[in-house]
Amino acid sequence: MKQHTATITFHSSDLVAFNPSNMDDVEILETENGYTFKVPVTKDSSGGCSIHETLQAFGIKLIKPAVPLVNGKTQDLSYILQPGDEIIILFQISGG
Amino acid sequence: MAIVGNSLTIQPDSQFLAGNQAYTGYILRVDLSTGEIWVDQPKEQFYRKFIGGRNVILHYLLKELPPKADPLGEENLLIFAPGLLTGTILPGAGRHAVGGKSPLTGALGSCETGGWWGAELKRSGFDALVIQGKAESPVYLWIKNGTVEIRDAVSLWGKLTAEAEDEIRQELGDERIRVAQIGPAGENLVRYACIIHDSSRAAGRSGLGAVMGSKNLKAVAVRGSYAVGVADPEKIKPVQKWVFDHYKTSMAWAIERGTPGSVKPNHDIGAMAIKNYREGTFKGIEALDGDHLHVSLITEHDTCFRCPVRCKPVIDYVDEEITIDRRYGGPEYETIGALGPLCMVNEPLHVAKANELCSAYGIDTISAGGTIAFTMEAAERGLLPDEAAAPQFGDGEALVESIHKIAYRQGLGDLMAEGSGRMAEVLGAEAEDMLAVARKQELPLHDPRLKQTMAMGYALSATGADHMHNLNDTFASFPDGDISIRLKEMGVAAPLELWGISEHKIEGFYYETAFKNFYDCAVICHFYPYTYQHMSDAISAAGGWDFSIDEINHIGLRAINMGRQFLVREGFTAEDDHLSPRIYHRLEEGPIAGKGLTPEELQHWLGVYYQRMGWDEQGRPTEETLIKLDL
Repeated sequence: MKQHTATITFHSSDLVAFNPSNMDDVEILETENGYTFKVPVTKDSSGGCSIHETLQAFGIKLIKPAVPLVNGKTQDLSYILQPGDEIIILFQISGG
Repeated sequence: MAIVGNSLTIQPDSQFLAGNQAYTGYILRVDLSTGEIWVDQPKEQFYRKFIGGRNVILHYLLKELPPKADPLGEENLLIFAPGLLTGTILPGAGRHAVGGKSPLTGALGSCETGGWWGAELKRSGFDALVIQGKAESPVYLWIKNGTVEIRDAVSLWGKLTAEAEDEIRQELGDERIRVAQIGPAGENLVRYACIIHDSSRAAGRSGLGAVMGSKNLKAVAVRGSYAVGVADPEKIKPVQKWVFDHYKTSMAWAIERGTPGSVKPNHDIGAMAIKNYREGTFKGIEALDGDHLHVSLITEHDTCFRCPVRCKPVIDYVDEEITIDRRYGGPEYETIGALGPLCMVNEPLHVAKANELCSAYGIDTISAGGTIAFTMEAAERGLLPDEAAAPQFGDGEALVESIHKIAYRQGLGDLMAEGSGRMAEVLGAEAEDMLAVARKQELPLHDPRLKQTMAMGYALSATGADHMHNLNDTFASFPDGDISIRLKEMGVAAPLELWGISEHKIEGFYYETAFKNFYDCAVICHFYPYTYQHMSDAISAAGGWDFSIDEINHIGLRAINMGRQFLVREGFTAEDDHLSPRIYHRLEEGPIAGKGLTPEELQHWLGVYYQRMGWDEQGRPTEETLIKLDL
């Protein structure tokens, strides 16, 4: 049976820390500036996993403040992943 | 240039001289009308209760400024206030606050700046400087190790900021003098003129440069060689060590790209306002992002007093058509957003040149960008009397020319120098609908349709729209961020949800805005991710007290409540806690399409916040609340 997946792209490589050896179910692609992870999307009785929970489950650590863009719309890290979602994680800081 | 007023010499408190406390014990007072110079000598309890910065500013405004005073009249006070931690060994404590009644808003004028000046004032023997009156002709103040003089500045009037700084240093024979000064915009009473320090650091918001200009005060030059010690060095050293152990990772973003590094990410999530808040995406944003600017224009990074981070971008550029003087620094995130996408300008050289002119003339870049974008839309709609002279969206050369016209109040620049709020009053109802302001102050580059709790902060703040002493919804939604860590210290579940406002977010807003106001009293750089415990240890060490986390919270709450008292006595009511119409306009495309608060939602949550603060239904602090805070 085909597994449902979503993609999570980090726009910058220094946004994220991870250990590929712990990520058998995840496809990792290097992009020009960062990484894209193709992650399985699970559905359970509670309705599924958030972006934050999914990252935690695979040991993908966000090391800078960031906000996800889900299918072109701004969401927060508690957004519940849906099959086919395209997520871009964007660094957040500002001021001056 | 001779001494034109009185002079004064004091010897700082013996405990300060011995390096046993972080406050000098003297607040310097100058009356420019009479030439009188004197000092206040507050007791220890004053320092413990107020700490410095915004609280000291509000203390003097509430006590001495007559209600409804003209912000550009002799009565207004101009206050420079470092904080208890300014000048100590703590990294990030090189800042100071500047305040008075704002000529832009008619409310509280209060902003902070980095650089070296604040620490230098403490090192010269003074905890703050309170200026009143108006000199007969242009003067500047010279403060060195407890000695104060009022000096003639007729020949400095009209000079650009770096030129005036050079001349003052030359006249006084010391290249290490630190200068706070106004440029031509402050002299010409531009309502959002700022005060420039070290030629590139702006006490930007509230129009305090115009207050300085109205007093015929060109500059305040300081030089000090006293060391700012602390009462308990062993207590502050672990906090300093924590910074040195962590800043290369926790503040890597600032070291690598500074705030320009967040331009494109902020644009991509919809945080950056585009075309006067009318569009959701901006073509060519990449050219203005830190990644590109660090290749194309930014040549180096500068730093502030005892800060290892070095986040300040500097541009040094020369070609046949444009030169950009490195002494004026380089544009930060807010400036790039205000002078770039807000005005639809995507040529980095034009944005950089406009930033340089704002530093040279002494103009707040956020209000300048907001006013120019508003003018561009007014021109597009045919609302201006002379459309041929008006800047058009996307025209970088017109952007640069507009800065010049505003500073010298030339042509349409005379009206633009009043700010977009007053422009709209002249241009009529259609123009009112285009406004993006709170209390007539132009919004910073944090779109309130995305950051809705920050939008409430814009409406509430005694200064008008401000992103600094506010809650940033996107940062607060990050589970491991410094805001989440601080909220957990205060027993609030974190992170906060990104979208909307809720009881939970109001609780987060209550604590985090108090903490940010504490930062502006202490006066600490907002980029440093200190916790309540760090600050409790640092203040305890500086003053020789056992300063609790609750006292940290109370310092911030005092600032917010005194700000509110100031609003009430100046005639502001709950009806003024609102946002201008453009902020309620929903975007049709982009990452935040369709999102935003309604006026009714804002009204509801303001009521919830009033209650949390112990204010009445009109948003006035109750007697019980003021007593609880010893106000």
